[in-house]
Amino acid sequence: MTTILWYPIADKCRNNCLYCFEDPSFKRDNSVFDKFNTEKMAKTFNEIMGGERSKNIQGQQIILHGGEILDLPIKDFEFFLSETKKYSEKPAMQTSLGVPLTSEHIRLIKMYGAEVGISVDGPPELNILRGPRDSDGNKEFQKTVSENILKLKNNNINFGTIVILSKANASEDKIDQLVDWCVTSTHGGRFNPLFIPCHEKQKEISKYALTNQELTNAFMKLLFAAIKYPRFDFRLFEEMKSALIGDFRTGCTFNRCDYLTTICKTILPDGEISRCDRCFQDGYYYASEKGTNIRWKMLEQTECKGCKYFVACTGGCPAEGRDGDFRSKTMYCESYYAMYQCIENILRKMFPGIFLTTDIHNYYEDYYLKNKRFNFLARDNYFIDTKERMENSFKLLGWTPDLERRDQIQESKGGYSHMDTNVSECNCGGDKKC
Amino acid sequence: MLEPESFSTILIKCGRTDLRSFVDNLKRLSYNLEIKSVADDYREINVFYLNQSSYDRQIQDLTDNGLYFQPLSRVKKFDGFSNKHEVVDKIGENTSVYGAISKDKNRLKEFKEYFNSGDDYKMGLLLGYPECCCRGYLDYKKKFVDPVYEIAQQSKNYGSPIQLENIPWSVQVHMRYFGFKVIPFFPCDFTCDEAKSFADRWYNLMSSIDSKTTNDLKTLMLKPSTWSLYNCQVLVNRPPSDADFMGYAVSSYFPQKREVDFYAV
Repeated sequence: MTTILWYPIADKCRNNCLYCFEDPSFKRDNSVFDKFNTEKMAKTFNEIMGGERSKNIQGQQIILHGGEILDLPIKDFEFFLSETKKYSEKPAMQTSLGVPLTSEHIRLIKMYGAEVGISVDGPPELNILRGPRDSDGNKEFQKTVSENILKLKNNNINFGTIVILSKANASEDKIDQLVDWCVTSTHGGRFNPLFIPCHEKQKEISKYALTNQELTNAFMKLLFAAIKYPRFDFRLFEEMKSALIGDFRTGCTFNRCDYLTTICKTILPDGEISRCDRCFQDGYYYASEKGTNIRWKMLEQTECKGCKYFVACTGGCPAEGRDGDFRSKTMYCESYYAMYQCIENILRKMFPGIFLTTDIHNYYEDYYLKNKRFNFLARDNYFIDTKERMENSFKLLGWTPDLERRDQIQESKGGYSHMDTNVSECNCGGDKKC
Repeated sequence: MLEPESFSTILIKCGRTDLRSFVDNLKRLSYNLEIKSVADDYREINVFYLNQSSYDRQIQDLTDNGLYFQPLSRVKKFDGFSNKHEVVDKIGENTSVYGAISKDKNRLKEFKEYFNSGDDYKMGLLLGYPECCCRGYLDYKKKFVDPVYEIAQQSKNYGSPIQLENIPWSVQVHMRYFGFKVIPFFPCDFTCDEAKSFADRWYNLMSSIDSKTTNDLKTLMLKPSTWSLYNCQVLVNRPPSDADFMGYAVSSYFPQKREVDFYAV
């Protein structure tokens, strides 16, 4: 999935969160961008989208993002929502809620059917790393955030959450409170470990980074919450599960992201395309014109050599690289490994005999890149165990056993059974009824 | 040693879109320099790539300058930069013909013999490189194909990262991946007088072809820069830095990190 970010505020964000990955020297007083150019930004956006005015383009997530977007003049706020609406039924926006939501914001959010994402790390006492650094300013900020959450709820506007997990909200003594708040006040969303940027300010930020043990503990609590409360969304769980069953489309973290081009495209205030906003730890650079897969290819042979979960993890997000070096694997390797182990166990216990990406040699290059996904609960002898144990349950769910479908099924290729997504190889005779 | 595919690119700092045309101009300048350095007798011989997509124009350029072309091998085409040649059997869309150009057929014959016998030292001398640097290259080559760190160690063998101060800007080779270079060879040492003298002559020749681009190159290479190699990937100007671009290239060394800071004059 490609994510496109509108980034009009960029270096003029007023929130001043402690762990912002943009170097403070780029901001406000030393601004790179004079002001945003809506015309140029929209032109670039239309070029990225291919100029087609078709709606619901699959695999694209378009988000009004970056800095505190509630700070935008209301006419510009509407402009970006309306531009996005041309391509997406539900334009998305991400905000730290640091500026009071007005009735105009509410009206436009409803009018455009915008999906609201809030970047909040828990109740005010856990959200302290966000917002101004001085005590009074931060109190005022937290008050605004709480009021804004209430306004969203009172106006029946659903919202997802991005929570940054740090010592301020997810250490052993705080994680239960955070989980309770998330379960009762939100529908869940993304829970990202604190990201330590490579610039000088990182020394202060790194004090708040969880150890791998603490992060694993936090992940596990969130995982159990996601299992216990069906409506609670723990996106990392979804992404890891998808990577294990061979679908890499759900997110960028485990999707072999190239740090030079990145899966996420950011439209800067000057209308040029940059990389994922996490790369702004380097300063503001335009994206490379060409990309490479060398990072994960090398990790496979060096730091991650022999790792059971490499096919599903691929070293994680490059921006999270150890020692601030994107060429290295993620600094949270141990935590992700523990999560993969846990989710693998769940899948194998739920579906005995299930085939996972970790079971097949060179799955990504030999299968996924060739548009072939194995059927992880499929139908030939490799899956005899699953069939024997679960055939009756599957029948109740409407599944037809292989023998009864034999005449409809193409023979499997290369020893494994596939759901071959390449339409040209189907047997429909061209009438596309398949 | 791992052998990843060649790759190099630069990421331009916001607000410096002019660097895009600079890079294009520099490519043109380098191409003209390859021909003019031989045509104007700065050296007797030079290496040259004939490309599938433009060989008619290239042959015309050689003819116009009275130069012969001696094919040496068929290699896989690469974009911008490569540490090594990947030899191929058949000529096709993705191949180039690697060879040498000269006014003198005998020199070309001689060069081909050295090429076939793998005599880098004699090839270097024929290409007009300083003798000490040709000798130095033989040693570096035994260690590593991309010896920026090894040369830096030769220049100043302590510190991590190695910090090189007051080296002549024109003998720097750690930005060559992106075409940002003056000298077309590895110096034996970043303080080598012979290499500096060669660089001065080359700088004058470059200026005579395109003074603006040459000046821009000087400005860019004079800024402090960093070079680091890790997991077979070279990163030039890792932020935070005042440089106008961040460069990335593929090399073939792992696993320890190697870093050099350059403060050129």
